[in-house]
Amino acid sequence: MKAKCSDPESGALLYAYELNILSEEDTDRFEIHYLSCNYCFKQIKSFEQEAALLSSDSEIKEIVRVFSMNETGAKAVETEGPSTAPDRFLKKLGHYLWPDTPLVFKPALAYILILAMLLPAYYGIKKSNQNTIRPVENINLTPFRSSVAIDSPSITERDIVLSFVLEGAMPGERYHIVLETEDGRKVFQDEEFSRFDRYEIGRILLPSNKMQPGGYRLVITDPRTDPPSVIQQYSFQIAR
Amino acid sequence: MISEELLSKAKKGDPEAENEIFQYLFARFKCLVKRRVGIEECEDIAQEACMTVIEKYKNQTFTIGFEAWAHGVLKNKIGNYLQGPLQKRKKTTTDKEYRSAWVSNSREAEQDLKRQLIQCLKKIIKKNPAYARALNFVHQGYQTDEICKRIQVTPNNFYVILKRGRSMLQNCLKRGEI
Repeated sequence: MKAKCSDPESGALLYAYELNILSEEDTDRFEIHYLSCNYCFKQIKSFEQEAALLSSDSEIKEIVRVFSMNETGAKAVETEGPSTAPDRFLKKLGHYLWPDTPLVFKPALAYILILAMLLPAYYGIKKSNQNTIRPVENINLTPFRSSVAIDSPSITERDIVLSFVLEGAMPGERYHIVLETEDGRKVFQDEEFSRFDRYEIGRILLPSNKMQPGGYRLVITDPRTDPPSVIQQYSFQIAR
Repeated sequence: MISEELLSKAKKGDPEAENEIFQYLFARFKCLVKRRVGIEECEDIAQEACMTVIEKYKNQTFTIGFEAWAHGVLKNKIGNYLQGPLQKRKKTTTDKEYRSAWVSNSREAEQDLKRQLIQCLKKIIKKNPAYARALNFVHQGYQTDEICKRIQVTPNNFYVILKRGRSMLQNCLKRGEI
């Protein structure tokens, strides 16, 4: 008759006991059972060397580790041994993030998704704020004030709206406008400028980074004449 | 198992019964001590524990069963040994010590067994990846509860995995095939 374990419930612990992976409580429980069970005693005796090698031999460990790595593939992280604090943190984070349960049960993932959605909105709002009206510096040029010196502390920090009058300008007609520095460097040029209002005033917007202190000359020519004739010229000075 | 009859005989002073109990406990105690302390001192500690059991059991009223009481005696002996001044540095057995406690004296026999075991293990883990996975966690130092959580099985199913793997190994070692 084949021998059997006298208490199968405690006897089931044998296989884990052999590998030394039982808790203290279960170890005691099994050992007490083992003292009264011939079957378990024989089982332990018959496999003791093999169990010792299985649980502690480095070559066997390596074989099992390599196999498990190949087997689990992406789950190779499990094979990295008793984890360090950063590893544990990453694993925990992964556990909270990986959607193996419905997303509503993953608050960390939900927060990250919300943040990911909010970020573009934040930058959109920020950008739209940047596009709102910014303070500008006005320079008005009229025939009566054709040579002016503008001295403002923020003249080089703000964009400049240059307003100029062209007497006899017809709405819809095109003129050639050049703004250049005293040494001939062109700051602005429009060969088909036609944006004059009914008061014969044209306006151009000049970015602050283009306008440095110094003298400037605005030349308006009529392209229809041959050769093009200068019909209005203004000069102004931006003080340091 | 130590029967009530054997115990009562020994209590009455039957030397044969007493000797039988001694031998029974000694064989088992030796195995347990080997696991916890190592091979060098296992016989001494097991013998000491058996002597204590034989000395005291006559006057003992067992509320928890003879085996549980004897186990307690043995644990005390092991505890005393580990806390002894000369053994403080050997409170835990390292892998190497643990292994050396189990392998036979013959280096060749050990190597032979290891070679066979590795061959069998290579065959088995392909057929039984669950066993390989469980073993891998064992090697990483996890306890039963943690392994069960990680491989998502109940403890009973985990023991079944270990049992199957073990019996495959035993078959392979005996017959050379799974």
